[in-house]
Amino acid sequence: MSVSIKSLEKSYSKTKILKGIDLEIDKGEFFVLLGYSGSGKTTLLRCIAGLEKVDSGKIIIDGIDVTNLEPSKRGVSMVFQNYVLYPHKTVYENLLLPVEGEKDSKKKIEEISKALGIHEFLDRMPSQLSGGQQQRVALARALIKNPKVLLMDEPLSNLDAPQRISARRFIKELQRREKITTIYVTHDQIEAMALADRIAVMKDGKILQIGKPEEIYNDPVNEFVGSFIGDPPMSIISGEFMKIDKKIGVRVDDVVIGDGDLIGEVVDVEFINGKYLVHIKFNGSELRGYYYKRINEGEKINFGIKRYRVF
Amino acid sequence: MPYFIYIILLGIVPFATTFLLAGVGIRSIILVYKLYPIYQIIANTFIYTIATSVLATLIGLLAAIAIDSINNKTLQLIIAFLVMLPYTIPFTSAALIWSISFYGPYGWFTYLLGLKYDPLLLSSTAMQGVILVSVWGSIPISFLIIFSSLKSVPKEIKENALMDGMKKSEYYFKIALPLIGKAILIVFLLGFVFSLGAFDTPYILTGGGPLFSTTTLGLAVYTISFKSSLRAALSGGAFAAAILAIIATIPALIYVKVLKAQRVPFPSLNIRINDKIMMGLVAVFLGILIFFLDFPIYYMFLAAFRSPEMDFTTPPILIPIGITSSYFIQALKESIPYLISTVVVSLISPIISILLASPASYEISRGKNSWILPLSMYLYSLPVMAFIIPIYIFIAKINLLNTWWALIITMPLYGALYALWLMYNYFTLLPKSYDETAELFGIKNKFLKIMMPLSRPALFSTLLLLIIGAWHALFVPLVLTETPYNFSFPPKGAQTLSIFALLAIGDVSINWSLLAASAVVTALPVMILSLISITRVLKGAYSGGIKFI
Repeated sequence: MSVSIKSLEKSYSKTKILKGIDLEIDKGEFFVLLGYSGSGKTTLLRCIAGLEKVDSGKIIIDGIDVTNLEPSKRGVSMVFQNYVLYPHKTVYENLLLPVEGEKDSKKKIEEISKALGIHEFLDRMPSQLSGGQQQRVALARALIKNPKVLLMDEPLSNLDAPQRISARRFIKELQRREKITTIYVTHDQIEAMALADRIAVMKDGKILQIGKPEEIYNDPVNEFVGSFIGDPPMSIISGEFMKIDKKIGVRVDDVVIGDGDLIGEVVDVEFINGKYLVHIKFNGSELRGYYYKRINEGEKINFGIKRYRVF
Repeated sequence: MPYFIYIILLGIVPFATTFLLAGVGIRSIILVYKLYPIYQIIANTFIYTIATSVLATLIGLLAAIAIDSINNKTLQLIIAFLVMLPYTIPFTSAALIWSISFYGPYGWFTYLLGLKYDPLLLSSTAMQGVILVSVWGSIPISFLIIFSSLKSVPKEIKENALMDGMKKSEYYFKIALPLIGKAILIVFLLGFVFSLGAFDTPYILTGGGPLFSTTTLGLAVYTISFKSSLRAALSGGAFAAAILAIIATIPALIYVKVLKAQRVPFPSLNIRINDKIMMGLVAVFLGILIFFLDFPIYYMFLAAFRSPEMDFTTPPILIPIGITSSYFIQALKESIPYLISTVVVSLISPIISILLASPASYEISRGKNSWILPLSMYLYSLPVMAFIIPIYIFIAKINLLNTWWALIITMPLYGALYALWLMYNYFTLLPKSYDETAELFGIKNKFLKIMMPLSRPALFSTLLLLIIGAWHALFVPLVLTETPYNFSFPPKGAQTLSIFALLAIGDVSINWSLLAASAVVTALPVMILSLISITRVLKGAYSGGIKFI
């Protein structure tokens, strides 16, 4: 076990931000904390980093209880959302700061900057770099001390869309190559799905579900997770028509349009990725399914449900 | 923490001692009572303070609105700059120039108003003259604070209001002013606390007379303590200082409270003027204002570079003819010993202030010992008279009166308190993640290595403001020094340039050229620094940055 967290609690003044977090993260794992803002995911990350003091509970990294250690003594490093490169220092000086005074600091900077493709920028100031390049510098600075755990706080949110895709691949490849235990915070479920070995979905200071991306997608433990994960998310409807007196969740792929004995009314049609996403009014709520051609709004159509989950 | 020790030794201890001194010498207090019309002096202080702070705030506010309503950005900057010009002139120089501007038929100001006499010589009008000069000197800083607050109102708010069909006047009086109510109140309170302790203007213009008609408490502290032959003069002065300190405490506390407040309610006024008419009013108002603010400065240079014969004419000659630099050169030569002291003191004491204040302000901005901030702001808004008598006694005891040391020890008090506030504001804007990164990577000496270099621009701005402040200082040097630097070692004699300019007042009826030349010599070096400083602040106001109140 690389990181294990036991009944962690944390509050600011009177509001409880973390309400008993338990977590086990394996060595070399890419672990994503996923949740909306206010879910406590960033606070949890900052507690692991040591930037926040915890009220109770334990944080253990590689078998050592680090709960009350200073950030720099924990063997963790972090990439901040806005990178936080010191604007008055060159890339080289920024990389030097964590390893200053060490004998082979020069060699380390050499190695890491080559590995991350920023070797040619060493003499530049951070302001002369693009967002993607700045992020690589921040990554390099985080990795230069060989941390046991790498923490990342929404590292892609400051990049524009095309840069984001390439940065995402870059981070993933780097992590797999270096086999570094990584905890990654995001609110973007697509990002989480693309990167994670395992995901923890958080809400209101609690972890709702931990699992591989497939598990979370296919078997959400509750309504919230179901309607959070997936694009479009699960449709949550009443199960009455099937004689189930609970709510059921249906993924968009499990709705078969044009075939089946249920009848609904088309309320909206959107053209997405070469297919048509059809919103169907049914039993007073809404379902979504894909269809191969455009249908008119207001039309009545037949459809069936292949698979569903009861909540 | 050295900062804290310093403000205890030079702020809190002298403040408390002032009250002790005032209490000890009951007999001298009674004596003071008999010799000085204390009630009239208190009344004078209030009239002077209220008139100055109200007028300066009001005119500063109108100027800020007028300039902000101009569409052309370059024009805005130029006019803002002209409004700021009086700030570049040390008060001593300014008061000298005004004293000759009031000189009956020969003074340009009295001539333009058609006055045949010098208003400063009559008890009925002297106070009005003193207030006029005081307002003149206070408008720029009021304007600057309000103007940069107006600039900090998001552009979208203004655009939205104008798209809703509001007139410009409605935007300012209904939307913008209520948004910046806090800044306006701060300007007023700051003006109020500073004029309560005012000394320079009445001292130079009238010396408190005729009779006691322009004597304020600040001035009374000085004349009772250091200029009277009473046996227990110091405790008598301390008595006046204690009254002043008590009066000043109320606005000082309000000031500290307002600084901490998020927003201050401000009435929304319904003023609807056609945009074209408003711009016409703006042009007229700014024209008069700029003439009022900048003509004395022009006149200072004019009088300094011509011979005295040209000054005593009616009507006064106001165009540059008969230019000569001989008076200026004479003044420059005579000023050298004073200049040396001023340069030494106004470079060293700001550096000490910054060294003391910046680590402290950093810690406070990060939530440590945050009660030091309101305490400092409270001390800052007390008049210097509340501290000066015990400091004087202390400096005399350690035998440092009339040396550079006396000034170098004392002057950083206000510098450090002011720097603490400026740097605190800067550090709170500096992202906390800079600290966290340093913590995470175990960077040693993060304050020296990271925070100080990161704050270079702010440190530079603060240093400039402190140097300007130290250069302008009159009261403290006047109390603690007696003679100019005598070129010996160890250095003895420490009178500053502002005192040099003051000595020229003897020339008021004889040689205006020398008087104006002294004013120019005193002002010139610091004018350049002020111009740089103003440009930085005005540009900062445009980029929506600098918070300097």
